Amino acid sequence: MVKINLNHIYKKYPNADDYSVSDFDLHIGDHEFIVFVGPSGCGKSTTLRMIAGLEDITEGTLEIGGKVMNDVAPRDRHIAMVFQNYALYPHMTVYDNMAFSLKLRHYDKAEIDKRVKNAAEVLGLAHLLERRPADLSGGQRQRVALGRAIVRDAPIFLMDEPLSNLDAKLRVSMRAEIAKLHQNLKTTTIYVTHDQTEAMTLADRIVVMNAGRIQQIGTPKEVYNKPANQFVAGFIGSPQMNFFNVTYKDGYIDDGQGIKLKVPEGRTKVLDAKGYNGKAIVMGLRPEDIHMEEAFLETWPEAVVSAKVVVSELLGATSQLYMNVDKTEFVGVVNARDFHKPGDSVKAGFNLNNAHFFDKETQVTITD
Amino acid sequence: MKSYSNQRKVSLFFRYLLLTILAILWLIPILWIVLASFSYNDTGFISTFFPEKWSLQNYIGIFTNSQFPYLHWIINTLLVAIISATLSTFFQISVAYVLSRLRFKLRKPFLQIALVLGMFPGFMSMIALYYILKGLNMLNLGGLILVYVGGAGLGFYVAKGFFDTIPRSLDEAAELDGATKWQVFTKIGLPLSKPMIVYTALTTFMAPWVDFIFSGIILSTSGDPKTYTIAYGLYNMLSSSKGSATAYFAQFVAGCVIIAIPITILFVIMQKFYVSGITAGADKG
Repeated sequence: MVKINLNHIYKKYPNADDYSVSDFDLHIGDHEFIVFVGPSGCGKSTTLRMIAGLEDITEGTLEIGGKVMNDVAPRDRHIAMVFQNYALYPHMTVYDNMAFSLKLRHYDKAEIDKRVKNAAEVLGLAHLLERRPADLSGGQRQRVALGRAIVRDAPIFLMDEPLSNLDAKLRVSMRAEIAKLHQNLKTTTIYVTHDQTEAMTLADRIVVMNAGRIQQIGTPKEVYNKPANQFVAGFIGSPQMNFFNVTYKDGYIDDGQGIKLKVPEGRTKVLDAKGYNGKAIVMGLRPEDIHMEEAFLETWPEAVVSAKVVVSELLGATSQLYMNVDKTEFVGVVNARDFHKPGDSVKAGFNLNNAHFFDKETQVTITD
Repeated sequence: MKSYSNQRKVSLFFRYLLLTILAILWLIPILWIVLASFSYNDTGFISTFFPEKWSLQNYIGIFTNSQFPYLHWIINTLLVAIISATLSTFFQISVAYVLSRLRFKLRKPFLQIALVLGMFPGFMSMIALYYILKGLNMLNLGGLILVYVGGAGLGFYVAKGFFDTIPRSLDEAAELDGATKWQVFTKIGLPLSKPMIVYTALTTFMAPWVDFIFSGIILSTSGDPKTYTIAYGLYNMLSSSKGSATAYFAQFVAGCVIIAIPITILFVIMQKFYVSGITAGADKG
C-alpha cells in the first residue's frame, strides 16, 4: 500500500481571480480512511480531482508512494475513483463495466473473470452481471461503481460524494458497506462529502475545509470535541452548535439579552490568562449540553436560564427544543420526557464545562 | 355551454382534417410521379393522372438509353455517396468530438468563425472551387468527392450538441481506468454516439443524390455523360437539346422514381437510429 503527501498545494483556475484551494498540506498514511468535508464550493472536490490527475496542480507537489505525481497522467497514477453520478458506461453490461480497466491493462481473460466475479460476490451483484446500468436501481449502480474500483486492486480509492444520489435509507446502509469494505480491503481511501454524519462515521481522520483552506485535520472525536475554530465547531455536529455573542468579565459571561452565567473555574483561568477579561468573545455550546432534567437544574442553579420554547420537535428518544431568551435563540436536545410545546416557559441549564470559547475577531478557539 | 368532451372532439376533428389535407398535398406529387412512370406513351408529356395503359417501357428505356447512360450515373453517384459519406462522417464526428471534449486556445474563436461561415451558402464558393479544381486537373468525380468532404467538418454543430450531453465524468472514469484519449473516443465516445453517426452518415450519403449545383459545374466540363452523377445527368436529359424535354420526359420520371428507392430503403432501415439521433440531444439532460 501507499502513502500520499500533499505538500502545500494551490489551485487556481484559468480566468479565476482567487485560488480555489490554498496551501493544502496533508500527509496520508497507509490504509487510512480520510474524509474531506466542507460546504459546497470549499475546494474539497477540486483537491480530490487534483489527486486523481483530472485537474492540474497550480502550485505545490503531490507525492504518491514517494514519487512526485504532478505531471503523471491519470491512468498511470493507479488510482480508482467512484464518481458522484457513478459514471457507469451505459453501453456496457455490469460485467464489462467492471472488466473495462482490466481489459485496457491487458490482463488475461481468466484473471479478469476471477476478479470481476469476486467483486460481484462481495457486493451482491452476481445475478446482475449481464444487465446494463439503465436496468439497475440507484443502489445497484452505486455498487457497480464500487465494484469497478475494487477489481482494479488499486492502492488508492477516491470517492467523490458517492452516496449523495441515494435516498436516505439506502445511504445509511451503503455507508455501512463502505466502512466494511475498507475494513476488509484496507485500501487507502480519500472520501469527499458535505455530509458531516458520513464524515464522522467513516473517517479515520477528517479534513474540514472551507473557502479553499483546511480548517482542521483530526480524528472525528477531535474535530467534534476540540474544534479548532468557530467554523469547524458549527459545521460538525447536528443540530448545529449554538453560538452566543457574550462579554466575559470577572468570571461571568453576559450576552446583554438576559443570559448571564458563571463560568466554571477551570475555564476562567484560561480566559483570564489569555487576557480576555472584559472583552467580547463567542461562546459555543452544543445542543446536548443544554439540560432540563431536575437533577441538573438543582445541582447548578447558577447555570440556569429562563427561556421560551419557539419550536419543538419530538424525535422519539429525544426532543429538540428551539428556545429563546429575549432575542437570543438556541436549540437544545433533551430527553423526550422534557418535551415542551411552543410557547411554554422552561428552565434550561447550560453545562458550561463543555462550552467552547472563540476569539470574536479571528474566530479561533481560545485554548491554553 | 358545450361540454368539455364535445369541445375536445370538435377540436380533434379539425386537427385531423388539417393533417389529412396536408398529407394529401404531400402525397399527390409522389403518387403522380410513380403513376406517370408506369404510363405508356410515345408522345412525350403524360396528360392523364392515372395511366391509360400500364407499361414498364419507361424503365426499360432509361436503362437502355444509349445517349444517357443511366446505369453509369447510378454507379457514379453511389460511389461518390459511399466515399463521401464515409469520409464526411469521420471528419464531422471527429471535429464535433474534439470541440466538445478537448479544451484549447482557439476553441472559442473557431466555434464563432464556424457559425459565421455556416451562414454563407456553399455555392458562393463555386467559381473559386471551379478554378482550383481546374488547376489541380480534378474536374471529375474525385474533385466532386473533395468538395463534399471538404466542407463536412463545418457541419459539426448537431453532433457536438450530442456529445455535449454525454457526461464528462464518463471520460474521466475511463481515463482513470487506464484509457488514452483515443481509447476514450473509440471505446466510450463512439459506441455511445451510434445514433449520431447514423444520422451524420445518412445526411452526408444523401447529399450527392440531390446536389446538382456542384456536380453540374464540376462534371459538365468533361462533356462525357458517363461521368455524370444522377442529379446532373437527369437534369441534362431534359435540357441538353431542344425537344429533349418532351422526348425523354417519361424516362426522366422513371429515373426519378428509381433513385428514390435506395434512399427510401436506407431510411426505413435506419429510421430507428435516425429518430433517436435527431432527438437525442434534446431529451438526454
